[in-house]
Amino acid sequence: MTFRTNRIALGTLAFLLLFGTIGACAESADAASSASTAPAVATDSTAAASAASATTAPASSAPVKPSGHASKTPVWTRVHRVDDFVTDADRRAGVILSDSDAPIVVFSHGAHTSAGVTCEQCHHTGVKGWEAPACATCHKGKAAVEVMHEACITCHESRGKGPVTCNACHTARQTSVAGIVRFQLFDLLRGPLFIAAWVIFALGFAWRIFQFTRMTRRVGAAPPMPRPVQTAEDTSFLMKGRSGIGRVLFRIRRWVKSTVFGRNPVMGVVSLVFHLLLVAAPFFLPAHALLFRESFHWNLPTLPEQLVDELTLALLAIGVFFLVRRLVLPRVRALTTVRDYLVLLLVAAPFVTAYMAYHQWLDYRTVLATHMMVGEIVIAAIPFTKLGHMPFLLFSRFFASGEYSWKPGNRRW
Amino acid sequence: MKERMVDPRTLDRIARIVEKKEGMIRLSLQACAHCSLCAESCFKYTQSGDPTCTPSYKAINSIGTIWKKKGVLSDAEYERIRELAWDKCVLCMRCYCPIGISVPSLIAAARSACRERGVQRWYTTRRNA
Repeated sequence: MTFRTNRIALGTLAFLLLFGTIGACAESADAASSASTAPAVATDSTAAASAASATTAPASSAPVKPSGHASKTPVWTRVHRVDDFVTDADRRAGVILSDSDAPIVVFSHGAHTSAGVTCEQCHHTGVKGWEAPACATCHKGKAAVEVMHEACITCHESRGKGPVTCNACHTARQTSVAGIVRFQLFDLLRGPLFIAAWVIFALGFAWRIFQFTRMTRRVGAAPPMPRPVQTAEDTSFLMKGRSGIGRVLFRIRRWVKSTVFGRNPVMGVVSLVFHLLLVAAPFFLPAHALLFRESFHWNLPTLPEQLVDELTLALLAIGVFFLVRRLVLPRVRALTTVRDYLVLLLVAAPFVTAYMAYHQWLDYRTVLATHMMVGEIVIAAIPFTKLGHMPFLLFSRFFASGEYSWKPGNRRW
Repeated sequence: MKERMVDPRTLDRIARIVEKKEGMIRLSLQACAHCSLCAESCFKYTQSGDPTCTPSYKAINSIGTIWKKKGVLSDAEYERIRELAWDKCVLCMRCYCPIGISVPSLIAAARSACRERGVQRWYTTRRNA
């Protein structure tokens, strides 16, 4: 094994260790959360619902924006963990429906803020920044149930809007088939399947790197490519009559012309933006950061939700552009196979469902479950489909020697 | 076109050529996103506007076909590959692939395989006549 091979192997190992650690953390976090709460399904529903509120709330930011904190990203927390309100005495007394058939309350911050409810109306002790205590922080046990029933129903009645009967709020039954599909599936998608997707991605990525390493051999560092000799007269002729900045701009323009942005500016820029958005939109979405924080207790950097929503739309627009291009341009059509359409669909699916979930089109939970499922499929599929150009690019443009390779470019097929 | 009998040793030699470059061919063809960004870097394409002059098209339909069919192709298919690898490509090595696929290497491999079958560029008019 050469030194280079060792470095590749080390990098792969580090990559696997990172994901292994994340996976282990996620498992222990999951175990901890389900251990501390008796009805696991209720916990997951609350998590899903808080995700729902996280994705929807700041859309109508005007009524919920606390004064002086306009620029700060909201940090949402769970507000309605059913177990917080249920004591064993309650269960024994039959005050609360038994664990197996307790219908879950699905609360949406978004629905309330867009109806013009201010933060302080519910969080009556005051809102500091984006932090506010949940009902159960002060109102314990049965008192919390009474307080919440009182607050919700009174407000709904006085506004003449919102549910007031028991089963209008307590809708989600976990014993029905639909309930199991929705809540158990959430459980799976949020936990083991999410980890599985990343593990498959990491293993596939490592396998690809191994393939590249095995199928290439190390050669000496590539000699610099001979460049056409540029004589002094040439340059002075080109630079004549240009100021200092003009010369710099001229050089930049000439360099850009020789790149893909010069050859095909539209496609060059559009595909660059597309790939940046593919990473930026999911990684900087506050709702994802919330889920990440709940699992790993890390705060990730976020972009405003409204912006991510617009970026998603832009990304989908570029997807449509790619599709139309594929359907219309003869040179692209000549290359196109069914798999190209399928892979475009595969990549677009998580973003379409994300957009639908954010805007609460169709049934929110079904859409969200679909979003999580297709998202995980895409992550796992990257090393094994046409999306494999991601690991390929890293290898071929850095390690394989060639005219367009960056450093070190010292391996040959 | 009447099929010629192919010497099994010829197929062996083609198989060896393909085998030598198998990793590159397979991984490159798998990775190709069919984006056609290489088209603009090919003067044969820009000058003719012929979609079959796109570098990735030439690679996929020459060495790609040979690799998939393990060299067992009809004369008509080899003739088509000859057209792609010689008439529509001069191996100027200026094709640009954003993913970093080396299209010239692929086409060069296709040429090597073709030569084993006696398919190549003929500079005399005898064959074309």
